[in-house]
Amino acid sequence: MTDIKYMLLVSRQGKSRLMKWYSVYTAKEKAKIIRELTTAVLSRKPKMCNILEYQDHKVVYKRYASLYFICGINADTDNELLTLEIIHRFVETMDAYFNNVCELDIIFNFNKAYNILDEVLMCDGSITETSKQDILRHIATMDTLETSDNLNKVLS
Amino acid sequence: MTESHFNYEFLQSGVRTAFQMPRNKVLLAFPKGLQIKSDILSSIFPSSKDIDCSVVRGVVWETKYYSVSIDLYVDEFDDLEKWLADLRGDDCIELRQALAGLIITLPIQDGLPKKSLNSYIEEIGQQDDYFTILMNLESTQDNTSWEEEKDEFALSGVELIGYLEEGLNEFGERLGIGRIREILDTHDWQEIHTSEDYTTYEITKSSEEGCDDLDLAKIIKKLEAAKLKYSTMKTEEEAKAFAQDIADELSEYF
Repeated sequence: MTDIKYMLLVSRQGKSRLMKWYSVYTAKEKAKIIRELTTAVLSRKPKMCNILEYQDHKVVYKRYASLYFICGINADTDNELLTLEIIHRFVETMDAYFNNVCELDIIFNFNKAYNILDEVLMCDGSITETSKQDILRHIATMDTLETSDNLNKVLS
Repeated sequence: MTESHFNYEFLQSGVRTAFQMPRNKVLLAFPKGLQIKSDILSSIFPSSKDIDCSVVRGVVWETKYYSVSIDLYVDEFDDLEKWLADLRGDDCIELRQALAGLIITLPIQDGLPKKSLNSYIEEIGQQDDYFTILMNLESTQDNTSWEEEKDEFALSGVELIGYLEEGLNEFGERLGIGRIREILDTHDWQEIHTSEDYTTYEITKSSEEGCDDLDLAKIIKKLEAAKLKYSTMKTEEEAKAFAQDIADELSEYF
């Protein structure tokens, strides 16, 4: 089981690209977490551990190119290595969907990135799907529905 | 009055009018007499012409999602510290307000000019939607502190890039000129032209062409463009009106 509290996607320049909250936080708390974690994670050296303690929970992060994927997890119930695997699966799926994903793809298709994330994690932060093929199939179905719906609207 | 180390041609030739325009200007600074200046400029901005001028207008920066017209201001310095001090000065307020970012190129042999860089970062470099790139012309292979300095300055919003670096690093991040292009790609430019604008263009263009020589492929293309355009509409009224227009137009063809 996983109990992810939030997932943040931050660029090397400290800009937030995606954020998804699975626990209840006020806007002020969210801003504080983003600000503090961005500084904490970006200042860590490449060889340092990808897991750190933060407030009352743990933070697991992984860097892919110029993007940092940061997850807040429950220190008691969550598994850090499993969280790293979830991050990796999310990246792999985006990579397959966008055909070699880059920061620009996420900026201009953030809704698709959120859709993929929603297929990986449920709204309570637990895993909903681990199969990359299944996730991609679901997203492709959504894309088809969206396209045909738009076309129907135009033609009706 | 102290002697200025800054090229004020930018101020005289358009920044005042550019003040009201989008913040799409990039300032590039090179050491005086650098022979590979043109090579560097053309490798970052392959579409630019007149790269020997100090002001290059209307350089089209294009990605698969958008294109944007940017202006390049190219300057040279004898002493970076003094040049940065001038840039921080009151005389350059309007120029700073027009800039999207700064790219400084210099050979770093005896360590980074940290003092002047830190003053610059405190006063200018940490603005939102502003990038600063420092490109080292020297080889960074034997520089053991290079990677650490990269991380240190990245936190302050300054990207250190090695001109001679290429390919990808251990995280899959682009190095060298490729990284500069990536920073420019992901910068939050103002007044970009996206593919949605292109869609509008396609719809308008095919309407103007008339229906006499319109074939099926064109109709499908038009429908695809209309579909994309429709998906971006915010209000139902606007969408309905657009759908009605397209339907009326298409009915004429059949």
